[in-house]
Amino acid sequence: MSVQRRSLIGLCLLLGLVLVSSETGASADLPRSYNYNLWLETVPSAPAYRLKREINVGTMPGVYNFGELADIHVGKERVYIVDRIGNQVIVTDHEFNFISRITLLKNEQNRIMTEDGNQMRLTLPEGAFEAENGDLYIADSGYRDAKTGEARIVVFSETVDSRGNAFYYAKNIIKKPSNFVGRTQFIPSKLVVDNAYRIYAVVQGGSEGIVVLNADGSFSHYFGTNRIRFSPIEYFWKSLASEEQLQKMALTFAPPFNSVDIDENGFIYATTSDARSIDKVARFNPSGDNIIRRMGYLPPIGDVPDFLTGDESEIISVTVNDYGMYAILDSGRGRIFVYNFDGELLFVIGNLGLARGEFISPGDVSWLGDDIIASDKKKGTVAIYTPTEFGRLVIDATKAYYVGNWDEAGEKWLQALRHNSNYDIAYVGYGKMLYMQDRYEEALKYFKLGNNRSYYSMAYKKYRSEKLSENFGLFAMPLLIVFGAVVFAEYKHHKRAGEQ
Amino acid sequence: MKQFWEKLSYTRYVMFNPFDGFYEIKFRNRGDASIATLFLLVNGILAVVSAQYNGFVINTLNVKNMNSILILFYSVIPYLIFVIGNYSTTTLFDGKGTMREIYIVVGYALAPYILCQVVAVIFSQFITTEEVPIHRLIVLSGSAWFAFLVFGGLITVHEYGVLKNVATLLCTVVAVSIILFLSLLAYSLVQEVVAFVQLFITEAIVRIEGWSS
Repeated sequence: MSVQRRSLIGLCLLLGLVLVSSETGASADLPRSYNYNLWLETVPSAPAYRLKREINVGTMPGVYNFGELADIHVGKERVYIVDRIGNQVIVTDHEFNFISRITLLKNEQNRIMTEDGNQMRLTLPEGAFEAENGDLYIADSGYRDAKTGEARIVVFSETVDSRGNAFYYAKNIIKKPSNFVGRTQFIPSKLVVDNAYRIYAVVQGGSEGIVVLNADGSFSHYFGTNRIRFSPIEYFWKSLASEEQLQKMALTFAPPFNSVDIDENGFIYATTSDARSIDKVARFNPSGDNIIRRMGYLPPIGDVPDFLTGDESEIISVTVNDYGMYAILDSGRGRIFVYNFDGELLFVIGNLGLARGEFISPGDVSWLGDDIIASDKKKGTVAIYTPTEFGRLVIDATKAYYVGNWDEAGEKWLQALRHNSNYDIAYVGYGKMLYMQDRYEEALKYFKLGNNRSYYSMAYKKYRSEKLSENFGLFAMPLLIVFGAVVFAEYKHHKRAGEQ
Repeated sequence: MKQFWEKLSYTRYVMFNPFDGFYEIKFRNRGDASIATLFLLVNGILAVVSAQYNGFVINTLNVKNMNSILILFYSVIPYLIFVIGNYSTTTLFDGKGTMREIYIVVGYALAPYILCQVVAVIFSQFITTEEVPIHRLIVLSGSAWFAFLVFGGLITVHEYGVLKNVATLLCTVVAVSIILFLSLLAYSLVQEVVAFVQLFITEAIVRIEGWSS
């Protein structure tokens, strides 16, 4: 009996142990993450995202002839997967259920359109964007016009045929505008469309900036150029060179952009991977100035450049959500960096590798609600990362702060701190709440923990004046006494002088 | 002991009257090298203190990587090198000052700098980012005072004119850089010799182990 009971207890213990260990195993499965501190040292961080699903686009039902996943765009209800080599755009819903496949240009009657007796089809499409009205703009970069030898943008619209099947017809074809200026070739790669249906297209190798087309397809202007780093030696030689020598020297071009996105207010985000460029990601205001905020320990450039080799992150894609949070993708190390509106690094997700959810050759990144989806060119997969408990708290806090809910944001930050006590932004976030509630002394503590001197200084100013006014008597008394003593001494002195 | 206190309190006179003060020190024995050493050490300790205890707003020290011995070292050695450099040039330009006198000048000149540092460290506890320039001003005025005292002191002990003093100071800069260059050279040379000996020993050990097995 007792032996049986003992063995039963033992079995229970063993089972418990197995359960516990399997649970710790599950948490150890999460990728490790990091962040940077004030001294730009890497600090371990709790993982903010975990892999939810990985979708192999090539084996999705309805998809065939799959080539290379070039671009991925999330619309209001659709996800567009651009297959560059397979000359097609695959349309799915947000759950990645196949809906349609665009490869031939059809008219509204579902008839294939022809040009010079040939079927019109997409050739090497590189970018897709869903406009406000649901129209799909595709950069058909492999197409070569017979006259200009340059590419086109095709506008598709979704409709239903007589049998009730959804299909996309080519609503409009935008070729090189007749009023196009500059030396840039009109070969659009990635594009966005704003609320006024202006098209902002990144062109391959375009050093003059982003091409802006009006809603009617005419050329408007070039937009936002990249600032470049000058080496002092280069500058010295160029300053010495004569006019003729300068003409023979290789011109220094502004580095081209490789990706664009647009936020809810119509500000354009663009990235560049060129090593000469100062900014890796830019946020352009309507007049084309880069107004990205750089409040973080490091400007938004991904990883800290290598100390010895100077290697920097190669940023190839950007995506921004409605709360000013943007993610950029580093193709060199296969990492996604997520920043808040202020340009403070929130999370680092992903890695190069062969495991599920890791990258071989990163392609594109995009928000899907609060999930982040990232595509891999070679694997032809789309990885869906979903926030962990910690990530959820940080996202909620960031959103609450963005819309001005200080108190909610502060509480979320405090909870986030329980998951990750290395998280400087959370300390500062909670401190901001305390500051808004006029609890300056506590705010000071949290700003100090969060290593943020400007906010500490703000809180200290309030704290100091509060203390000064509280203890006014204590500070004023000695001053009064000294003043009185001086006056008295002067009086005595003068009186004595007068007597003499 | 009483004499030491007397000499220490004489520093106050030197601070405000460098030409007179250093003259008295040189010819009437009103100062002492031990006091100069004291100031030099206090300055070094104060450098460590200000690195650690400066107010949060201006203090970006990474405590994990802090090495107080190194900070002490770096805040004392430059003055000693300057003394050597200055002595080696002024002997060529018929300066009347001895090495001891130059040392005393540099040491005493540190006194106002130390004072300003103390004030700055205390002040930095109560400032916001907007008042950082005032903190800088305090430190800077300490440095300027130091520079003035060194300048005046060297004129006095070497019995130079202003121009000649400037010229020898420029030469001192050259001398100091030569000293630094040579010491760097010697350092790397020693390092290489040490590495060679280490390599030699490892090689020998490996070979001996090879034979015995």
